[in-house]
Amino acid sequence: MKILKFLFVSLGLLLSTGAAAQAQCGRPIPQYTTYHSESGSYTQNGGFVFYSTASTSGYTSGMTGCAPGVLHTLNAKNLLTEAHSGRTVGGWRAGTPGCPSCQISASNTESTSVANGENWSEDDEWNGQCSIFGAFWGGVGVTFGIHIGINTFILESWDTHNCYYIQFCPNGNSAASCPAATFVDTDGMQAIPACNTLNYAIAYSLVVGGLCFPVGITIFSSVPAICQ
Amino acid sequence: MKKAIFAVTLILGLAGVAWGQTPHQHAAVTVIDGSKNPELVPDSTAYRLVLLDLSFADNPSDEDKRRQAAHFRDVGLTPSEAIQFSAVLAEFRSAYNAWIARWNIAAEAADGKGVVFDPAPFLQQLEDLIQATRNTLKQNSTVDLKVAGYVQKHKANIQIHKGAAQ
Repeated sequence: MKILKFLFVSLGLLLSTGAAAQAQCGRPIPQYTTYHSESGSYTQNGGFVFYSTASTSGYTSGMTGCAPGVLHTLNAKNLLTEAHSGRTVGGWRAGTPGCPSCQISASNTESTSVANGENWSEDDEWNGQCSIFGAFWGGVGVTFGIHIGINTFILESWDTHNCYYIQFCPNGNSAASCPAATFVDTDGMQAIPACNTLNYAIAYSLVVGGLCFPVGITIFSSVPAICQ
Repeated sequence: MKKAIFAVTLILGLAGVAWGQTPHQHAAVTVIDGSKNPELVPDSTAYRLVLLDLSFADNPSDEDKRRQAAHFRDVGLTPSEAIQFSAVLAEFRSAYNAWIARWNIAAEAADGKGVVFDPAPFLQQLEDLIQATRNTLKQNSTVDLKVAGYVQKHKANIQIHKGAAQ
């Protein structure tokens, strides 16, 4: 009988303490921003590198009356996937945990080489974890495609300094992801060989989510390149 | 007697399970999606995120430097403009890190005591820092114009999640 009484008293204490703890500790109210950025560059060995960053930062309010030691962590996903090979780069990365009212952040920068003809996608997502409430916030993910854009121009005229070109895609000008009607090779006549010795200028871009990022390279050639 | 002990043990067990659970309930959050409504993203928010993204954390790697150079090309900076902008970014990042440290010291003290942390004065300090950085950028109107264009374009890459108590 004594054991029974002890168990009932324990039960009462357990339930009342638990209810009080839950009632006092307010739920986290997120005040976060998310951001992603992309860019690309041409490498000296003739390839392209794509850089992307997914980040999130901010704080929470509302968590008053909680036991000391509650920690929040932000996580940022930045997953790059090549459609044909299935090759992936990146994934989730956690930021440094901090107190609920603290300014915390997570940043996930990835880079990959991008070859001509490859089709990459970037998949970004964000979430927040609380050491007592678990997952309490998730950012709306974004996904977009990445590929190399090629535009070809044909030499039209030149003067003592520059060469002047107009768009000329062998497969039709509408095939270029980053169309431009004209191109000027400024001071190209001073280059060796001079710009009027090669008939075609081929401009490369990284196309990210339909937006064109010039990667700082234009190649001059005696043959045109197929536009994409 | 045995049945009574079994019943209490069962109740204790169930109570333990219930206590350990945390309801998966999220706060009401309003989302401003810059890809749909860039006009709703405040300039100060956009400048903060872009300046943070383009500036270096401690000890940048060669990869970090190449990435920054690629972004500078997207901004449209000439080599000399890039040097000027780098100096502004470094100054901003240093001041921003100091601001984060001040915020977190105050936030940890408030959370440790179980009292409400007031972010308002710190948010104002951040606004002041962004404005001061923009004023510095204005000293070179070409750089200012190029950075402003980049910031406006990149509002499409921003989401603002504002929670509210339910």
